[in-house]
Amino acid sequence: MENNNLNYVSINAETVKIIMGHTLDNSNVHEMVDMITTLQEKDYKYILVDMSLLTFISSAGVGSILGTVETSRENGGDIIIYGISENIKNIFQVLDLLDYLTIKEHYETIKEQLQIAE
Amino acid sequence: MSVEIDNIAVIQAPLDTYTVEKDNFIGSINHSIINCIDVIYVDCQKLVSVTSSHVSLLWEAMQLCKEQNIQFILRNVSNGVYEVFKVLDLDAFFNVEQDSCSSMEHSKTGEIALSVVLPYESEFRPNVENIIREKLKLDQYLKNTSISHKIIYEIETIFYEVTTNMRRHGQITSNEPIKFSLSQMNDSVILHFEDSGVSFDLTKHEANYKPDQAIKERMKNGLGVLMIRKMADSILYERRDDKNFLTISKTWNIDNGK
Repeated sequence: MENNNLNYVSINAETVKIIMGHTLDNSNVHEMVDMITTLQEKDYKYILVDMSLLTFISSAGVGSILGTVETSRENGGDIIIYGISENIKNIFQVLDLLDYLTIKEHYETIKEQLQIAE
Repeated sequence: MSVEIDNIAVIQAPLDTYTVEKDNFIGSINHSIINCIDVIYVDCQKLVSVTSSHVSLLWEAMQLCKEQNIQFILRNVSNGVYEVFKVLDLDAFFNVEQDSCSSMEHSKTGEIALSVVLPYESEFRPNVENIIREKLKLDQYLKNTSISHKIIYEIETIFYEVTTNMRRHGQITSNEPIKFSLSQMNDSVILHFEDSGVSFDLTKHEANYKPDQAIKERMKNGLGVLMIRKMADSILYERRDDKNFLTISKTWNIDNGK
C-alpha cells in the first residue's frame, strides 16, 4: 500500500521540513500547496522537502514547488529539495529545472549550510 | 549464412529484418529448397529479442518450406523468444528443436523478461483513482519487459499526463471510457490514446517555456503538456468522428535508456 501522506516537522523558528510520501500527483497536490502556503504564512523562511520516499511526481506535483518557491525567495528563504531518486531527478531535468530549483543530495549538507543545530 | 550437409541446411536467422539480411535469409531458404534439402534448421541463437517482423519472416520461411514438404525447424530459440511465440499462439505452429531453449532471461521477480513489447490494451473511465490504478497495471506489465527503468518511468509519466489532461479538460461523460493501447514498432514503443472528449491537439500547444520565468510567474499548471512533448520522440494527433486519436512514440533502448 502506498503512503501518500504529507507531514511536516518544525526544525527551528525559520526552518521546517516536509516529509513526502510515495507519490505527489493530483491525489495530494492540493494538500502540498496548502501545506507550503500555510508554512510560508507562519514565516518559515526555509522549507526543506524530503523526497527520499517519493517514487512518482506528476506535472502538478512539480507545479506545487514551482508555483510556491518564489514566495519563499522573496522572503529571503528558499524551498530546498533533497533525497531525490534518479527518476525524480530526470523529471526536473526534462523541465530544465535543475539549475533553478535548490536541490541537495543529503539533509546533512543542508544542515551544514543553514547551520541547523539538532 | 547457411550450411548444407547431407540434405540438411542450417541457416542463420537474421538479426535485422529491414536490410539485405532479410533478402539473404529468404534467398538461402529458396536456395535450399532448389537443392532438394530435406530439413532446414534456422539457427535463432543470435535472436536475443524479436520484433513482429522477425516473427513474420520466420512464418514466411516456414510456409515456403511447407509448400515443398521440407521440414522447417527452429533451433537455439531463447526462452524469451519462445515466450513470444507462446503469447502469439504460434508455439504450436513452429517446430522448435527440443533442448534448444537457451539463455533464460529472468527479471528480478524470476519471471521471464519479454524481449519484445507485446501489445497491451486497456479501457477505463477517466477519474483520478482509475488513472492511478491503470498506471500501476502498466507498470507491472512494463517491468516484465527488457525496457530500461528510465524509459518505463517516462512511458508511465506520459500515460499519466495524457490521461490526466483528458480527465481535466476533455469533458468526457462518465460512460465514455478512454481507450489505451501500447505496442512495439521496431525500436519504439507506441502509445495510442483514444477519447471522445473535446478536441485537444497538444502538438499545437505552446512549447516555449523559460524555467526562471515560470518560477517568477508562479506557474502551477501547463507543465504536463511540456513533459509529454519533451519525453516523447514523436506525437501524432488526429480528430475524426468526434474523437481524439493521439499516437506517441518513445524510443525503446534496453541498454542505456534515452
